[in-house]
Order: sequence, then structure tokens, then C-alpha cells
Amino acid sequence: MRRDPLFEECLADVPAEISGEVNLNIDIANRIADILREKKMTQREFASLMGKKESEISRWLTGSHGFTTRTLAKMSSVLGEAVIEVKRNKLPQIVLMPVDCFYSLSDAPSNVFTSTEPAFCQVQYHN
Amino acid sequence: MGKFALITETDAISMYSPCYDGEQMHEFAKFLVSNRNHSHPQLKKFFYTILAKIRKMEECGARENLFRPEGGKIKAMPLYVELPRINRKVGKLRLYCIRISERLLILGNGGVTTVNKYEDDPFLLSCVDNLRTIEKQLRQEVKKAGTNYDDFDAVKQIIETVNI
Repeated sequence: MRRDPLFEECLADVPAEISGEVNLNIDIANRIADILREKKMTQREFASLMGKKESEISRWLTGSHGFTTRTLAKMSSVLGEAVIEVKRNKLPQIVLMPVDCFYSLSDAPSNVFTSTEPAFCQVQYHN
Repeated sequence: MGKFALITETDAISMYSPCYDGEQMHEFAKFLVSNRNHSHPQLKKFFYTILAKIRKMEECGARENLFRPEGGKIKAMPLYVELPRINRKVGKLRLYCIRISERLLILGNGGVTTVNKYEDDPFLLSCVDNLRTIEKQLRQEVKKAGTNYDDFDAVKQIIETVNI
């Protein structure tokens, strides 16, 4: 990435909470715009379903608007999919996987196997 | 006459600003220098929001929905800033730009506005008029080159070589 030095200097002064707020607002705005495009829904139709004016929807999509959870929930309901998701701590999943166990006589070379038997291995993973 | 100075470049976007012959600063630098030291928290928030927005565009590009339209390719940012209450007498901060495409943005100048329309503020009007003149010239150069604004490589080449 290449940046103008004065721009870089001014960026360093931007408080983290403002950066965070802007990033979140833009991510949400872009997500809404993407869903509208995927569903081939116009801003006017979306505004009507939300009970808002079209100008307010335009303002939402500029990424300058902070949403209440109520509005986010209503948007998700109107659009039929989640606009945002909250990260949750998930319990680890445990599955049993079949494996073949190889056996050899104690005095055989390490890479020589005399028998195999099926067994199960326990695997723990996180999504 | 003048040239375009590169402001920032990532995989998602290239941003430039016009720098006129005989001047030390490009237009975006003038905006930064004039507005970085506002003491009023309202204007400070506007300033930081604009910078944070430009930084975010380095990642997501200059998506159309992120701008306030001002006619044709001329755009303004931000449209709105979350504040408990906007003090109209203090005003809002506006930065004007030319959105060539999602990957190419020309940052101009701007400033504090206490009026509803930029046409009612002589300085802001001059900022927008300068950009309109540049955009008209760019459009002609792109047409002369037999291409359009969606051709990123060709338009980038024009921006980096044209005399404005």
C-alpha cells in the first residue's frame, strides 16, 4: 500500500472508536446494498417494506448511519436474511473417526506390521 | 495546468488528487491542512469520519452507495455523521470528489458548510466547479483513447499522464 505522507499523518490522529464506528457502519451499509442487489430489490421497495422514506434508505447506505438493534432486526426480517451476526463461543464438537491400528511383533523391524484391527479415534474441533 | 498526485493505492482502489502548477499542495492536502485543527468537537468528528471513511475505501473500494451525489460523477462525503445533536451554526464538513469507478477516486477540496446547498457557498462552489472542469477533461481524454471509465488500466494511465 502506498500513501501520501500528510494523509498518513492525519490518519494516525483518528481515534480508534471513530475508526471502529465508521468501519462497522460501512460494513453494514455494504451488506444491505449487497442483499438488495442479490434480491433485485430497489431502494424504493425496501423503503416501503421498512416503513421509511427512500431518502432515509439512501442515507443508510452511505455508511454514515448508526443503526439500532431494533432496526437491524427489522431489516433482517424484511430481507429474509441476517444483516449482521454476533460472534458466539461455540462448544467444541467431538466426533469418533474409524482408524486402522497396525500391530507388530515386539522383535520385528519398526516398519513391519503383522496385523491390523479397526479402532476409533476421538477428534475434537471448533467451527 | 497541473497533474494528479497519488494519495493512496491498494488492490481495491487508487485515489488521486489534482495538483496545479505553481502550487505546493494538491487539493486534498489543502483540505487536510485547513481542517485538521478544528477545535469544535462537531467538526473534529466530521473530519475524523471523512478520513476513516477514505481508509475504509482502501479496503472495500469506492462503492456507489457510500457517497452523497452532487451531479454526475461529482460526489461528496460524508452525507451524515452520528452526533447527539448537529449544531447548524457550527456547520458540517464536506469533501468533494470525482468517483470515476469503484477502483478510481479523485479527491478534491472541501470545507465547512453552514448552508443547505454548496451552490450557496462561494468556496464550496469553486471546489465543485474545479472538479467538474477536471472531470469534463478526463471524460474527453477517455473518449479520445477509445475507452470508457470502466477500463481501469486505461483510465489509470490517463490520470497518471494527463495535464490538467
